[in-house]
Amino acid sequence: MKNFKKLLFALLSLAMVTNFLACDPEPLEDDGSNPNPNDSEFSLGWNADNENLSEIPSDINLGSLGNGTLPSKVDLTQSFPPIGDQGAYGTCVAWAVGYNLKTAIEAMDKGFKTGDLNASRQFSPKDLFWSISSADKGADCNGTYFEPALDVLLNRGIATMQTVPYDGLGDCSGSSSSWSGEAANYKIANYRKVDLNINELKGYIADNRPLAIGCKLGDNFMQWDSDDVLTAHSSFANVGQHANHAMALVGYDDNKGPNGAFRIINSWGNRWGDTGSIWVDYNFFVGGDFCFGAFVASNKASEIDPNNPVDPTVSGSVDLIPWNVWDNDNQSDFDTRSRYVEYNVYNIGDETVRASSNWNISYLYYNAFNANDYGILLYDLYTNQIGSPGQNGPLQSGGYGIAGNWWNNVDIPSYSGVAEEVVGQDYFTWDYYMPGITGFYYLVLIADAFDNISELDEANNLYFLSDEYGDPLYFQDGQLIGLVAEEIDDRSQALPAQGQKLIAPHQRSKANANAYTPAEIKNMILHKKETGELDAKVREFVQEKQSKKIK
Amino acid sequence: MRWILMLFLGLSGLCLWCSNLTSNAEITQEMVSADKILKNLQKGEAIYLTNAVISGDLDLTQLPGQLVNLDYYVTVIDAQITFVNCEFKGKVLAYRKGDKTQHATRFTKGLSFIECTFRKEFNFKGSVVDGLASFPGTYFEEAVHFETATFRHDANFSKSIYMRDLYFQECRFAQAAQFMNANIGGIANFQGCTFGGDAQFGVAEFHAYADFSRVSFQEGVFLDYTKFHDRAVFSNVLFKGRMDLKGGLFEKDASFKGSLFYGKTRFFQSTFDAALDLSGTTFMTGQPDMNELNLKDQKNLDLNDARVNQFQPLELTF
Repeated sequence: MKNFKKLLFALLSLAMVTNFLACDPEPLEDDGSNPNPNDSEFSLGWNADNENLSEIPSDINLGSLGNGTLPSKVDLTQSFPPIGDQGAYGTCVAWAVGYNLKTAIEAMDKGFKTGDLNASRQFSPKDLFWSISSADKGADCNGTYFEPALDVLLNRGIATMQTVPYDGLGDCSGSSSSWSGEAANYKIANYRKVDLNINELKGYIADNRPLAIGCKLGDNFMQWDSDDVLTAHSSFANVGQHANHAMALVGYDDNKGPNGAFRIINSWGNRWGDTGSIWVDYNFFVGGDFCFGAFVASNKASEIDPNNPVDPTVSGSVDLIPWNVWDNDNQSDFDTRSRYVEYNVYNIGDETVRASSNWNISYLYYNAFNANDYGILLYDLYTNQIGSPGQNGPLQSGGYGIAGNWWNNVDIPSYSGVAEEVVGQDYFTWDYYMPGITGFYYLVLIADAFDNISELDEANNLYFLSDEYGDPLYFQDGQLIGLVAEEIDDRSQALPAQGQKLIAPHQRSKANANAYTPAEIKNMILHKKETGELDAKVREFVQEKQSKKIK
Repeated sequence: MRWILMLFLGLSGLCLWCSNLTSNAEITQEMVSADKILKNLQKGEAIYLTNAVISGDLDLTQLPGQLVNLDYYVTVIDAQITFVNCEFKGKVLAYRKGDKTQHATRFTKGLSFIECTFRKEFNFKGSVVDGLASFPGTYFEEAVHFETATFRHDANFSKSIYMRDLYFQECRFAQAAQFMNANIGGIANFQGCTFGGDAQFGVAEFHAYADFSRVSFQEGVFLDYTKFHDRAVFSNVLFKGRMDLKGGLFEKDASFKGSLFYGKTRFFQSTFDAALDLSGTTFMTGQPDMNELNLKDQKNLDLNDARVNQFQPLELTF
């Protein structure tokens, strides 16, 4: 027995030494050029080089994230399925997005917990990976990236594990058409990229919004086997310099590790890490060495206004609708940023819209991929607080209203337009200078932007200007590029009949199903109004107009 | 008698001259630009400076480097570098990360910063030091980075003072590592380090979180009279040699969870004001010396699955 113990001790010692040698970091002497990270024990599969984050819309920050008092720790694992195992396949993106993220948001919407999540309530990474175009994934199941995977969830949906279990993957080129009918029942409404900011990430988790994340891994990550907090990479000798991997961000704890830590769920089975998950230090997570992309997804599109929903049964009400909006280059000004907009807003309800409602028409631009980048181009106020009935005039900076552009002490009778009532014409013309923006933007005119009026239909308050395909317009230093201005107008539609409900003027096409919805834009405007940021934007615009000496 | 008087006067004069020399040196510290040091290094010349003030950023990654893999450059410095009682006004960098590249430094000779003061960032992440690494009595005002560095010879950080966080994660100390009497004001990150020789942390003082998780001590580790004013984490550590913790002070939670102790281990006369987590530990060479252990509240002791000689449960009596 004594000899047996000695032998056991010797074997254990040898095992420890062997293990130690295997972990030996040697950063300057590893070549880190292992061309196939999947040669290691655990497979990866995020083809990060193909990811174009600039094409994925940023989530609109409505202020609920990271600004208030967040709980010191949150754990969403109770809404996640059991830890998955991708095996030898480079399917991590499908596991992160399909199996983990989609299963969890579906579970949260329906009130399921982990114990409820049997195969019929788990979503299949095999189905998702097979459904991704071969152009967007490596041969022999060798990786993909987030955008095509999330696009599949958005446009096609995903089948359940019960229907498509994770076996018989072959070379991942098989057809998934036979179960696409079931998949169509499980789509997402949109997906958004998220800033890698500690408080914002915590805010999403505290808001029950788990995230799919793309990370770069070091050798120590591959060998993790405890609930210690990962604070740095070791070498890349075994895993290679491009070990990119997709996982799910599911929790945080301010008191874990030196600075607090995020909890991440992996798809390498229960034996790896802390029974399948790992804690990663806040600062290391966002510091530019570990996480390189984070995404949230929603099963439901935002409603227009949760406090004032569309109610088609309302009668005896008002309904404002922008119409015949035309944005054009100002040919009489050599400045290529000089433009003018023609517009009208009709009341197609059966009651008069009173000036006493203090409502407004706002015209703004916003970045197609980051709506937090926006600006005001026109602010047209209808109020009885200024002048006498029937009068109108320019708003002065620091003066009436919120220091916007124009005021009108005018009521709008049923089935009449603001231009008819104010100037007796079919539309207003408003000159403006586009700020020096560069990138893809939409222009949008919003009637009752601050939601002062309870309308028959809140959904038809926005009028978008895009290119003829519904895609955003490209501006270079404020100049519209690639289109003649006339092509963004749409005067072909007839004004809807009085009392016609749920009309949406010039909605963008479905060319980009993941584009911001009108509801998101309107909710953003309302939020910016509440925080005072919109006022600041208007003042900024007025100052720029004055400095340009525009009328 | 006359000779004795002359000798006395001569010695007095010599002392006075020496004293003046010292005070003159204190008053007129030599100003040296970092650029000049870089130029000398580029010529392969050794650096030896005392009582100097170094102006500008000393960025060693500006020296030509060689591409060692896809995006990783290494500058190799073949000259001995010695600074004694010098003050560095700017950053001192041996590591730089660009958009798509990283640049680190290898020192094939010794690297000594003795009783120096660093006013700005000190970043030696990923460095390899083949010779002696000496930083005794050195004072760092800003964060210090040595992540994944390799010290092939002895490394001496005794009496060094760190006003901010210290990053030594995944370092390899091939031989002795000396942190005796070090004073660390910020977070001390030693996660995943390997200490190939003795690791001396005696009388050191850790004012913030100390993370020694997943460290491998191949020889002895000495923590005698070391003070931890914040949480101390020694979880999943491999102690292959002796672990000496005599008279240590842990004012906040201390965790040795999951650690393996192969050598003699003693917590003799140490004080634990908060929790002591020994769960999952294994003491291969018998009962650790817990004599005169001062545990403020025994309810804060976690011995779950702690074992002696692999099979016997660890039991402590107070």
